[in-house]
Amino acid sequence: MSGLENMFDDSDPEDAIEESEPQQRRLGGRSPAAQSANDLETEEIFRQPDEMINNDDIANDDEGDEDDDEEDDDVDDEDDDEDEEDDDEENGSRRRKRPRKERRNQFLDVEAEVDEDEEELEEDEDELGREDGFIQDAQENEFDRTDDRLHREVDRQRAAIAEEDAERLASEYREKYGRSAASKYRGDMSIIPQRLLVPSVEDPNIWGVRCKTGKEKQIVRTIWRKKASLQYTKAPVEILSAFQRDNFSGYVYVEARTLPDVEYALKGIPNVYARQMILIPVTEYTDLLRVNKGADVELVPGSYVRIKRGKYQGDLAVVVDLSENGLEVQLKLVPRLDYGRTQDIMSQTGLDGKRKRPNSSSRPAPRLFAPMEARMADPKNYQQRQAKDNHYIFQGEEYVNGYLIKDFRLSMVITENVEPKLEEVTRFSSTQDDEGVDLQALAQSLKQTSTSGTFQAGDHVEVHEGEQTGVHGRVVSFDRDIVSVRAESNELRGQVIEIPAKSLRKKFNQGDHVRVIGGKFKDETGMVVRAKDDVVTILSDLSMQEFTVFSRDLKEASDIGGRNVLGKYQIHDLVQLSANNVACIVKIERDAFRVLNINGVSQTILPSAISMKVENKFSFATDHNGSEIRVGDTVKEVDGNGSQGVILHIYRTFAFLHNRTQSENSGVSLVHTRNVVAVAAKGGRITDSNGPDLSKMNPNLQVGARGMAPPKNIPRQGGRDRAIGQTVIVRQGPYKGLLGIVKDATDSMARVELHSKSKLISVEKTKLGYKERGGKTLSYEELVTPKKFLSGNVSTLPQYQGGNSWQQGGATPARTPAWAASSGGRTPAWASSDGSKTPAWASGGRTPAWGEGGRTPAWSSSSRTPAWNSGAKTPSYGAGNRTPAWNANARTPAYNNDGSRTPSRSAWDIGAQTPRADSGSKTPAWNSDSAAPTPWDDGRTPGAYHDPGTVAYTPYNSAPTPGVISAPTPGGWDDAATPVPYDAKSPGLPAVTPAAWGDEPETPRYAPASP
Amino acid sequence: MFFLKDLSLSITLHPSYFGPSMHTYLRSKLLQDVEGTCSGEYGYIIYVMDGMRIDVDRGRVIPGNGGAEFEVKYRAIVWKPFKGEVVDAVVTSVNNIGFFADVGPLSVFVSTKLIPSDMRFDPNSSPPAYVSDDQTIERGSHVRLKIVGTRVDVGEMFAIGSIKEDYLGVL
Repeated sequence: MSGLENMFDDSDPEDAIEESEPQQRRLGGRSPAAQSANDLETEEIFRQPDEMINNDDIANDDEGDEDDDEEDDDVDDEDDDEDEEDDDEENGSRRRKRPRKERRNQFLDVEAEVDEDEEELEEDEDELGREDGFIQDAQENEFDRTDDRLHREVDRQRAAIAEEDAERLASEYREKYGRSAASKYRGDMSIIPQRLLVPSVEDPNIWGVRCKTGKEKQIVRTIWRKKASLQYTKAPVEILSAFQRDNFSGYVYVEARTLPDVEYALKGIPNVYARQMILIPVTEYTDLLRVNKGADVELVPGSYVRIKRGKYQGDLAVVVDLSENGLEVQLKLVPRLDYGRTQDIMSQTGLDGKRKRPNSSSRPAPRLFAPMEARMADPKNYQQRQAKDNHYIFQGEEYVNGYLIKDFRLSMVITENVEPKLEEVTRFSSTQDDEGVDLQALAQSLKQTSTSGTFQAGDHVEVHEGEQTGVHGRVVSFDRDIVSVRAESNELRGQVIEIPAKSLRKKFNQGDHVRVIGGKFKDETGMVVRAKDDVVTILSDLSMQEFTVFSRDLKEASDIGGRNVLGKYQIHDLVQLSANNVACIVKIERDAFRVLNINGVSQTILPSAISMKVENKFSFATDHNGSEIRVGDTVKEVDGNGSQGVILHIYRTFAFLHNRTQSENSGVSLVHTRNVVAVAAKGGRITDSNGPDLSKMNPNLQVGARGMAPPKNIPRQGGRDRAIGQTVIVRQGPYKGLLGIVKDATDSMARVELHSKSKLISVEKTKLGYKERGGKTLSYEELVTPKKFLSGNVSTLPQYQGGNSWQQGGATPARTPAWAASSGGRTPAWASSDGSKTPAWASGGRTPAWGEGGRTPAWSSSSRTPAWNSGAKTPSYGAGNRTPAWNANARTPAYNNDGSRTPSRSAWDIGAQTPRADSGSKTPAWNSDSAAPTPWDDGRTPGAYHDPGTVAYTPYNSAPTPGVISAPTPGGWDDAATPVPYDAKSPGLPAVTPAAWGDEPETPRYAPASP
Repeated sequence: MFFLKDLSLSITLHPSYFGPSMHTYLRSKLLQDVEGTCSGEYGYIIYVMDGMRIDVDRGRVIPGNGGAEFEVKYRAIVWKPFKGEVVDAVVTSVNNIGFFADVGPLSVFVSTKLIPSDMRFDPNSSPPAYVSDDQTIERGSHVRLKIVGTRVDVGEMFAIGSIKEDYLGVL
């Protein structure tokens, strides 16, 4: 593919390759076409000797010393080439440049001198010069102002000398370094100065001839045939070679001694414009014949190219095959077919006689070939190859597996900087093997893209081509395409070697932690699973997926990341999608989120679909076992596959778990909190299993560690608030200890006018102590409880509180269970006791207290009465009323009648008039009761005994009645405050407890009665 | 690899714990806090040795809150996985990209790339497994693998392993 048909007989392509970079660039700037033949000729003559002069230091004595500077090191090494080129450039604009250069002192900044104040500078320079002895020609400085004239003169002189001596110098030069000598030594010398190989003026010239673009090769072949056929005739074609270069289209080059030879050779050959002929300057021979290795890409089947022109302009194509002559390639493309749609339009416009070219905007999108559509659009031009599947001919073009297979001329194809994009590549991937992408081909294509900038200091690299193949090391520094590498492999260990970037690739080892810095997987991090050549397979940290990338797109990284932020949301955030739908972000793609929503469905959404981020760091839930789980805890599924995970979020009853070993949804799953059990709490948070937190108060030492009692529930009463008008003392808060009068009150608050300072303050009623006339201070509960019941209460205050607690349903825990039991039991005994009007009742009834109680709405009041309290200590009258037990009782006719509506009344009644009689008569139960010698009637029950003499509650306190206190349900007593107290209350009454009753023959009867 | 390592931990104690059983508190706290944890430097702390001989220094009252700080020195068995180490593991899950195996507390992933090429993923078997002529790797299998890379996250480690070498694979 070099395009070089014939070669200079004595030019050496190897050397041409060695030409350095600047030369290449210059070539672009100096197109042969741009210069006329005449110009070149003069320049040629002019330049040739000059070059010699420059190279011959001895001959140049009289020249300005700047030349010496430049040519100082111009002995015979590679640098020559570059310097030569510099010289060439200078020569091209010699007249213009020279004067400025002449005044340059080698040690002084000449540019600055021109711009700045000259006198000052002169002084400085003089001093400098004297000090250092650097100024060689003081006079020159003095003549600064008239420099131009002087220099022009020198210039002219030199030009004259050059011209005069050109021939002589040339011959001298040839004597010294002549090419015959050079060629003789060529085999021995490792490096031959380029200029010694360049043809001289005496060698045949090369003419460039314009021709029709694209016909170059054909013309060269024709010339060759002409030369061959006329070789042994009288008029042979006296040319030495003919060739063309791909880089310079529209030209063929002919090497010959004289111009007429060229003209003769080209005579009669079509497509050659023999009048436009230029003589190629000798110095450009090398450029002309350089083998441009970089530009010529070796196409192999499978490599990627782009189409230059036409419908498929810019499209990526895969090379399927190469033609034998190397001029055409068979490419595979994604077809851009519209199946006749634009053809219709064209045929319409065709009526006007104009052919309208479809413009690029109407270019159909690339899509795989669709046989059905094709057949419908143009059945005549549609044909399926029988032998093969998926092989069609449509409108004269061949489609295989949906792809267009078509031959293109090489000139139609771009082979450099193809840079296939992944989405383009994937269009081709559907029919290829499981890797999806033919990475080899991709690598081949990508290698041609610029390699500079891909290395950073510290990168671990490996040399993959050239002498040092296999050496690896760390990048120390880099300068454009040359990278300095400190080798780490055996022989070169520790040495810094310089290597062109294109023969380096990054090296990664298994287990390295890397970050992707380019391509589709940009910003993913992961661990290297496999590294083969420059293809690296990585296991992503976040998604646990494997993917394959080129090593050039990787760098070592210690952080874990990934593309985990998009906008203000990041991976694993819980976001609100709609009023009742939230989702957890499981993956962040280029412009979208992959989320798992509360229905367990994975979907892709745009950032705009997210209304907000849900912050719920402190949310918690209870797990399958009822223990607390929080965000960050590790939990395990109870059923299902029993997978474990860390809780990312808890939302209502759902938890989002993250489990690394799961690949779907990047390891995020949705579970019901009831379906998981806690495995480990985050950061060793104190769970039951996990011991106390030593930095907090020792729970064992805490009094009342069970937590605060629930707020007291003081029964409301109607009428005027009792607190109003009371003299009170503030018991808590900033005003603690101050005395005042309650002026106004709400349910819970009192407005207190202080005695000490005239001020109204608001205090909670319960934080006040209410002064009684007797000097006692009552709590609010005491205050609102009917006084009479409280009378003689002083000693019982603790009990009273106990009583309160029962009202609350058990502030005194000790009693509770038992009570519950007793109440729950609703033992016949109880029932009977109530019903029977146990001695307690009876006694109560007789006592003045009862009388008092009678006035109050019966049941409730009675319940509050100390008697009740004590008696019952039982939680319960009030409560009892409400309890089913009571209802049950109430169902008894007796109760209904007497009790339910106006309990007090009935109670009274019962109390007052021998209850037994009334009630008893109505209900069988009662009957039985009444019939039975009631304990207290008989006075058999000790409780009964005591009661008459004492206040109702007395028995309990004193516990004279074994039946009451100890007896019926001893447990009950202890445990007291039960919600059910109600029934419990009865205990009090009931001296009748089973124990008591036990003695009585009638007892059994009670049992049935109560329900 | 297992190591015996002398370590220390400073524990802050609330004044309410001061007293005769203070050391008991400290010891139990130490065990709770330390055993089973993982750090990048030492790997997993498997076990605290000589529970009764844990050295508790005199402690220092922290100005301002009445608590005290104790430096507790202990000796522990630590386990740190190294690149290149060969370990025995129990397979926990198998899928088409490879399998996960547990080496004690450490989860190791073995990619298909690092499984001998004669072992093929058989998605139809139940449970899913990697199968070759004479070997089967499924959930619960015991394998011997070589760790090829480790990564330390906060509070845990992760590794990838290989069984694509001689003497590695199903036990």
